[in-house]
Amino acid sequence: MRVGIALISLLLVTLFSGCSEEEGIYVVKLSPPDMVEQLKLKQIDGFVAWEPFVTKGEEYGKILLKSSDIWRRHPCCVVAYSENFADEDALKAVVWAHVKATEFIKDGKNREKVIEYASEFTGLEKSVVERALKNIDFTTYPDEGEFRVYFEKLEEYGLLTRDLKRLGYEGEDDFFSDFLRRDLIDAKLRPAKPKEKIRIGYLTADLHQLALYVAIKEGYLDEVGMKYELKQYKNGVAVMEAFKAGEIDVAYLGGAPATLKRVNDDVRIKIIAGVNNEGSAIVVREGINSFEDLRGKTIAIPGFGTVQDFLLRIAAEEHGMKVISK
Amino acid sequence: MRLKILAIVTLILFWYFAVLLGFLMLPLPHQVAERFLILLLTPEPVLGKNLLQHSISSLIRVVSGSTVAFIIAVPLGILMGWRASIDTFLSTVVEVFRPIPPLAWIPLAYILFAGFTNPVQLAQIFLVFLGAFFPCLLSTREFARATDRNLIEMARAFGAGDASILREIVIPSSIPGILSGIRIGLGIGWMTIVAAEMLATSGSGVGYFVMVMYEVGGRLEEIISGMAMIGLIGYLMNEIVLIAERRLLRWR
Amino acid sequence: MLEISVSKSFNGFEVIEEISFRVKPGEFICIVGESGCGKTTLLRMIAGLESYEGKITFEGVRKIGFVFQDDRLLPWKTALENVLFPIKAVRKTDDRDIEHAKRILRLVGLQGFEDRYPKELSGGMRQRVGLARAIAVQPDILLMDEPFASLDELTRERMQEELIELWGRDRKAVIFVTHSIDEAVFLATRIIVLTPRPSKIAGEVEVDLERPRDRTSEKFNFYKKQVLHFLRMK
Repeated sequence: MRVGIALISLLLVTLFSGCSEEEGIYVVKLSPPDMVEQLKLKQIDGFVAWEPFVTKGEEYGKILLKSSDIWRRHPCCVVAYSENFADEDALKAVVWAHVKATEFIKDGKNREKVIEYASEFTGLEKSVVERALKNIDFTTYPDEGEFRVYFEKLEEYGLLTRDLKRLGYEGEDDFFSDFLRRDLIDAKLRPAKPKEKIRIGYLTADLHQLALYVAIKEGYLDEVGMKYELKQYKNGVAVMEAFKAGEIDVAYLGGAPATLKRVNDDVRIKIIAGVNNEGSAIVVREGINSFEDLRGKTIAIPGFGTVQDFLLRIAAEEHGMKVISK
Repeated sequence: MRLKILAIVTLILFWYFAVLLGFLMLPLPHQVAERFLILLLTPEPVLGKNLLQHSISSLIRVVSGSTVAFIIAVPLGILMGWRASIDTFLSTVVEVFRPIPPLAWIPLAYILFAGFTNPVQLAQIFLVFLGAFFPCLLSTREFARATDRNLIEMARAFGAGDASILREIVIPSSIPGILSGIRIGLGIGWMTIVAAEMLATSGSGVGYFVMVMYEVGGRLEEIISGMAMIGLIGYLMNEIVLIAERRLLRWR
Repeated sequence: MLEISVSKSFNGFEVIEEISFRVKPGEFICIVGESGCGKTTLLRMIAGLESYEGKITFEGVRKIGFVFQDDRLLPWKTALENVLFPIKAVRKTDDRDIEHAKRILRLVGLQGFEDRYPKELSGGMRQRVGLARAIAVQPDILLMDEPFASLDELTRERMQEELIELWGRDRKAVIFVTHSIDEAVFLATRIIVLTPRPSKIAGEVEVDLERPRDRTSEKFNFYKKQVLHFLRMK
């Protein structure tokens, strides 16, 4: 019976160690389409996702906070490549096509076409994507100062487990000068014809990454003679896993998972272009009116270590709450 | 006893050597041990819970799923061992489902429980049920079938009815089978829940913990600690049933 | 008390051609015959464990006790619990039953061993538990199937003496199957001798000896010869 006493006291210890925590926000992991479904079914109290699922989610709830409210002008998606991929011309070609596509999107003359492409790319109705597009700030390179905040916050929240020195860098500056490559953006010349086929990864139905789709539809990639293969992933962490496994050469993904896995798993990638700023939001059901109301509630995120997870943690920290997995 | 300690020490030394000589890209044992203790009691940053809390989540599922499984499997097993007609009928039904590994049921389980509150939890408990049910059923049935017919005959000679015979002879005779069925069922239920948690899109538990630690990256100490916890719990469950076996089967 | 007239075939193979006899209250019947003659089958028919053609009628028999050749004790029950088993099988037991069972165990010489499990008892002791079990239920007829066959000779003789002593107290009807002539003459008031298969009754011997019986006396020998005479018949 000594065994019984030991077990019971162990149980009590755990329960108490759990209870003594301040309540926080409970998170569950879902894919964005599932998030919308679950919000509709009232199985979750809200979610954090990228456009167009924010606008779609408004049909069943409302926007509590836009990502720009949490962190103004925060960089979101970037284009990165694996250091194992050596063909510089191919990289130049990708960046060139991307920049051109981004300019196409921002040009008001192309509005009709952009909406059409967006609808095709995400599979949602034009009315939805039209509103969603307004929330996204398409860009060609992230602001370095803002990007560094990813690194600092990740470290602060205890998500980073490796020292930069262990990765071979002297410090933050050293790291970022290596991690962020500006040369391909600044050299906006039309590149030479690339030799190899390139494998491009991106996130399913992520409106932030519309530039990729435009580049394909408007023929920019063909124009530079780029042979490519596309691969879809469910979130940025999955993209980093694909880099690790050598499945892709270039990808569109969020800045947070890129930094997180670059440091934690030493996945050798570098960032060569920016894709967008902002464009995410916390969508909640009726009845929740302030961030405080989220205490003890359940919010869905696309994955741990994603930009959305990150934004939620920042907001939670500002309101003195913790993020706890359900 | 000394040999057992020697074996464990050898394993740990092997681990040290393998890492220090560069064969294994793993953290060292004492690093893992340190992280294990920290994880046990303090909440881990990404998921916000400590290892004991994760373990309890998993344990709740295993215990509830297994309990339901055993409550159904044991009486059925006894009945199947008792009457050939019941055995033939139920065996056929069972054999349709038994070969399907519990994890293969994952998609169907999620669909079946989609309408309920907390579908993920229910689906996972269901998977544990599937894992624990069949071994217990078969083990119970084996021993029930093997009940000494001479003893049953003796009871009949004294005018005992079916109920008495089942209660006083078949069931006690089957207890070794029931207990080993429970032991194996718990083991498989535990393996199932860990795997199910790893494959789940959301949830909690030790399996989930290990998976998320992998996704977020660079957390080998956490991953190994999680695995150690999983192994420890599996081991303890086994031991507990063995102790029960020894107590109940003193007449052997 | 008991009237029996039966025959039996196994798969078209005739074991018992025709056996008829009566048992009166207070009789100690021994059924003797060589191996395979169906004497055990006969006993099992009476206990309701074997089918038969013919008739078996009981009069004034509500309970039957059976002692098997292999003790058939429940290994997970103590000696006391085993003795209580037949009683428990038909009704709830109470403290009186427990006292009764303890008394019976004392009678068979197992006082102090009530809480032992069968694995902790010797062969002879287990047989005695089996005997106690059959007696405890206070049967109107006691059926015994070569219960001492697996014991060594000394223990066997002692068990026979104890059995007779027990029987002497209330003189229940006993049907005792054996292939030992010595045993039959020592125990029985009447011996029924069977022919080999397919069996019939070869003859009956009324044993008129005072108890306790002297195995070496001339009269004892006389009865043995009578039994032998019938045994040699076809």
